[in-house]
Amino acid sequence: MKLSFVLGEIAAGLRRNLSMAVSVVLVTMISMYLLGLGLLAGRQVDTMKDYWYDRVQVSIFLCVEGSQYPSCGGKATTPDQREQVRRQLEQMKPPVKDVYYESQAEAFKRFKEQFKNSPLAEQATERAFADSFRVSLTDPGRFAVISSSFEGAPGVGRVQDQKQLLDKFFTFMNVVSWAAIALSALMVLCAMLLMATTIRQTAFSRRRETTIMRLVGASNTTIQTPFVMETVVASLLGAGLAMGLLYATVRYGVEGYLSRALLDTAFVGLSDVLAIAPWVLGGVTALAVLTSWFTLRRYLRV
Amino acid sequence: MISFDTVTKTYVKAIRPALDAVSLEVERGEFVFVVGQSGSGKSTLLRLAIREERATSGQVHVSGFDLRTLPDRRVPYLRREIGTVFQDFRLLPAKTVFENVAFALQVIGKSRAVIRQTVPETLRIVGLDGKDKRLPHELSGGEQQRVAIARAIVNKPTILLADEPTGNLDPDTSRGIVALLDRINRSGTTVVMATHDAGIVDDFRKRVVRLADGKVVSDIGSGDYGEPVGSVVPDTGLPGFGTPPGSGTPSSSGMPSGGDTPTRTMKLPRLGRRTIEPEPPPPVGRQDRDQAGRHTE
Repeated sequence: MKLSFVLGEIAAGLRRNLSMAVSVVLVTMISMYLLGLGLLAGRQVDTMKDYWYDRVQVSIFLCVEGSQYPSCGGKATTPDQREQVRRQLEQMKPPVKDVYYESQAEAFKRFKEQFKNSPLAEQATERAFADSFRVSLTDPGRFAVISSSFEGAPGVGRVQDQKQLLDKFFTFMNVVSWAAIALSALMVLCAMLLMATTIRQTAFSRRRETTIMRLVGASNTTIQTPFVMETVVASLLGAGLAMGLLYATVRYGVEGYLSRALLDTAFVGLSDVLAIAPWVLGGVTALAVLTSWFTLRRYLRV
Repeated sequence: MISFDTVTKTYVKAIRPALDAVSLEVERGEFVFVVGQSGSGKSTLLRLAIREERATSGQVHVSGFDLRTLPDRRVPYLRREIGTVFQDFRLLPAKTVFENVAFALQVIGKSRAVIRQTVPETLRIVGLDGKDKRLPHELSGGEQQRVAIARAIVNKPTILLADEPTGNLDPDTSRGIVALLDRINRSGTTVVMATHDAGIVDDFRKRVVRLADGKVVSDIGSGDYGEPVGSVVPDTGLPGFGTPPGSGTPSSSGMPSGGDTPTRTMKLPRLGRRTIEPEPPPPVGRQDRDQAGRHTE
């Protein structure tokens, strides 16, 4: 079988059945784009976890005048109590990695910075903020160590774990990612059915050729390869376009916009697209080959 | 070359077998007409020989292949030994004459050099020199069948099977086609041709195997078309071992001759009798002959 002949037959086949080929390309493209988005969302969660779990802190809020927390008794934390907490924290290293004291003034400044575009910033007063110890842990999962030691301790208003807040967000992101993947699975099913239909139709419209090929003793491989290759080419084209779209999405949507808008957040990047691309392309190829093989077994007599 | 040993073929859901314990030997280099009414099993016989179908029982050997044990993936090698020609030509309408013939070589992986040499050679053999760039619809029926024959023999098969190759052609053209098959046969290719064209069979005086209801009812070394099955007389040789049956018509046993008109006239009585065959409708060729006959009579 001469390569040029095979390639010619494939090109002719695609041209003759252009609308079907285009639909295979498009459906594959959409399904693979969705799959890519789902995978990227998953990777986004991982990226953010890596980024944030390094930064999550446990905040130990101290009492200020008029604090509502029962352990405060409405009084501000005394300098002695504050030193007591600090000493205790210092003694707790290894699990405790770093301790940083944030004063009332600093907390207020940070708040104003964070909400500078919001009317909240103007209404807030320094008095509404409590000073706190920001504790980072070597293992962000071991929040219990801190909470059990400081919850209700004299001069400690409240112990808050940022990780819990983040986990809610990550759960949400995971749901989004799985939803996208589930949706793409549905689209992949559509793509497979469409490939099968296309092959059936092509096999029918080309039955003259295949009959003759059979009669003159062409091997099964020779007869089937053009069908398989047409499907592979069309679906790979679709997957390639999907990867292009994904690349553009990340390049312009994420790197060009989101990461600039939200500077303190880590986002997936082009390297993530490059990391999933081979799997997507390989998967699509396998899918196309399997689908066409099964279809040909049923609809093309050899 | 081709051997059937008590071969029975029953199609799924069929009431009676299409072929019923058929035994048949075709030697290398033979030219055999297989005749019989539609549904008598001619096509099934050919389909079994190229393993389009598998025998229900019995053994089929073709060109050294035992078709009962031949695995599916080896079937292409069997088919490369066999050329096939059909009533409906089966050309690819979008390809030129050259491309149609070359297709048979391309799909079995022959090099471009081989194709460039063999295809024109073959077109010359079948008498289509200079028409290699035509498309099938630009050719007459006879020429189209020649293209089909060229495609069938371009890979130099040892066997050529033809299933009603003249079914769509007028008598003169038909004779030309069979004469071509005859020439191919003389060069050593075994030819088996299924037909119910009586005139052709009579003209060429080859071995005639007659099938009726899936059975071989006669096998004559150098016969003519003979009686249609279902007539009173049992088969063997009665329609004449190379001689005209009873009729006083002179010399219908004459060798195939180029001169069409005289041959046709001479055979008139016999042809007239044979038209009683009720179905299938006689092929165009014979109708023409009969009508021509009535005129002359």
